[in-house]
Amino acid sequence: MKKIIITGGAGFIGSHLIEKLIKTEVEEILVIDDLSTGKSANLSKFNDSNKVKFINKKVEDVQNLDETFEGYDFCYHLAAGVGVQYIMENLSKSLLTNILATHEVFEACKKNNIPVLVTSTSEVYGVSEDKEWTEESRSLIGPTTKLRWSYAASKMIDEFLALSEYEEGKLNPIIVRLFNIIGPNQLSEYGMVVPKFIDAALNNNDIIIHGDGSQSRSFTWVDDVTSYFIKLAEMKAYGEVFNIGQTQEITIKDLAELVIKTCNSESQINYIKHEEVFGNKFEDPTRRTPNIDKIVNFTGMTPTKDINSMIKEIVAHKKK
Amino acid sequence: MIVVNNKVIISGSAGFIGFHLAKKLINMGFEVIGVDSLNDAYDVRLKNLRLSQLSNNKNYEFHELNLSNPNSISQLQTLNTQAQTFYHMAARAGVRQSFLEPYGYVLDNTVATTNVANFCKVTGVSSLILASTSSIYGDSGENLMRENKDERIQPPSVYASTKLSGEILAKTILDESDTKVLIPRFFTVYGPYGRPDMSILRFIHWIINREEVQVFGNGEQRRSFTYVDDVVAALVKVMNHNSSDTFNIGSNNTVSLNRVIEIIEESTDIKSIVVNKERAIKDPDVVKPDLSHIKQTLDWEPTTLIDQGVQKTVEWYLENIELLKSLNYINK
Repeated sequence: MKKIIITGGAGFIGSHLIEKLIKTEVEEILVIDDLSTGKSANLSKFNDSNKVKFINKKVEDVQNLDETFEGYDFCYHLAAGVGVQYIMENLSKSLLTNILATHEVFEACKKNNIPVLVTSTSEVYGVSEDKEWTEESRSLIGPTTKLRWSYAASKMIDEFLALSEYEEGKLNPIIVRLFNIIGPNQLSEYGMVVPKFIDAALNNNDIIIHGDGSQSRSFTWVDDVTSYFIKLAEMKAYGEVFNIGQTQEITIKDLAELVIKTCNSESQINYIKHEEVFGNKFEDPTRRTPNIDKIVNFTGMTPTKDINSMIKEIVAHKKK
Repeated sequence: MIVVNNKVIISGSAGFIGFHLAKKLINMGFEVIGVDSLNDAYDVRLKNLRLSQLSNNKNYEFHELNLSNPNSISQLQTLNTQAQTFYHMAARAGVRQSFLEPYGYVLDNTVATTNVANFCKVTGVSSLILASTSSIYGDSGENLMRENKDERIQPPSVYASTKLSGEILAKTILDESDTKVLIPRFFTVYGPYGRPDMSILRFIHWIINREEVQVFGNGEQRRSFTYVDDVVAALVKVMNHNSSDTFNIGSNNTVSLNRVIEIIEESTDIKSIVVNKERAIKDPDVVKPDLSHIKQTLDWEPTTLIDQGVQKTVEWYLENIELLKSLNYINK
């Protein structure tokens, strides 16, 4: 694969993916990003590279996307309204991005016969009661009046669209469901818990926990994620859905304490109710842990870092 | 990192061909930055009518600037558009009028082109597409005029002289720079939204309003009438050409003025009242393009037949008759 498209390439995961791809035999990486949540600073490290081409636009605003995609070998479609807080603040806009932009990308991929990796989210499981969330688990999302589920629903539509097109022989999609990815350069302003806690701890501000802190999460290292992406593309895992995450769980309260300890911080933990932050249109799953047997068996690759070393590395990077 | 953008500057975007080009490029997905001085060389209402067709489009922004003025160039630089393509379509047209006010033609054609060429050099525009004219060849008789061969050292009018010196200056200024200079030379372009001094539009106006049709000479002089949509298609192809070059854009099937009048009569079902007047000075009899270069290089040739083109122009006149009736069709 010589010529790659990355939508949302200026984002957190996208820019890490470019960093990895640029060191391979890839000849050209076309980034399409409107910098709405992505940051030009994420791209500035590629200023000197002739491999990276950048179109500063929303995917759905690039007219003649078909022609723009001509001659490329693979598309990573990462552009999306991301993070529950961002979604809650940009409800209809992020819904439309997730559905319309994805549709346009699929159409352009179909015209040019380009396989596409689509990022979905652990949100699609909702509050599934299955003990372990495998790719075949039953989803349990809330009612439409709880608007936080609009994100999950929009991503489910993307998945359905990808799999339908695959079934009909029109598109070669790979779907990945991401579970709380963390790493250097992730922004705190869109409600991502780890960068938010670390920012607070480094400034000795109170760490604010939504709810009682007993909800647990599993965190995944961004470099592991991009390695999986590249591997799945190489292996042509078309028509398949994969969880990408880690099984080690940590409660939000323990995470806050770990961050405070790692930063040598004097921050205090403050608990507030969800309703005070998002109103009563919000629901939060109590735990969210993937079964990752499928991707581990398929690729032969296992996650490389535990939560302690991830936090340590992010803090070290932040202090640089 | 290479920043890809599809921004295009079009000067003269309120003018006849510039307007059609802007409309086409916007439809193709380009972001068009339109520049025009909106001067009163002819009725500004016609320019505003064109502009109104482009406004409210999020891929179009307009700046009122007179490019013969260095301050305007600074303003254009301040916009920092990073456009890679500059279509310099702004010009003062009209052979007859050019003998009466040469200084204005030098400003609007030669000086403005010099400024634009400098702008392209300084801001790193990769292609300057400089609209030029068949007038620089002069009367060709039955010969086909060939690019880089048949240009006159002394062109036959002030208008042609100012355009040819613009060509030469742009090429000289941008020689060995990163900017390509692409020169399309137009042969008697006509169509909807045309200028009131152009023969086809004047004939339509006079015939529809049952006024005297003034023809200079016996009306047997032939023109390489080229429909504006064909010209725009050529201009789009010119943009992607990879090295500096000059192209004739016209039609080999010349048509006499008398034949044009007949076609208008047929299409409007009105009999004309023709009055033949004395020929203007140095108004060439016929200019025929050699199209082999553009055919071979850009795979372009005109496709619109004169009957179709005139018909569309008549329809456009009728749709806008209230405004068009009130324009001044006689030269100042």
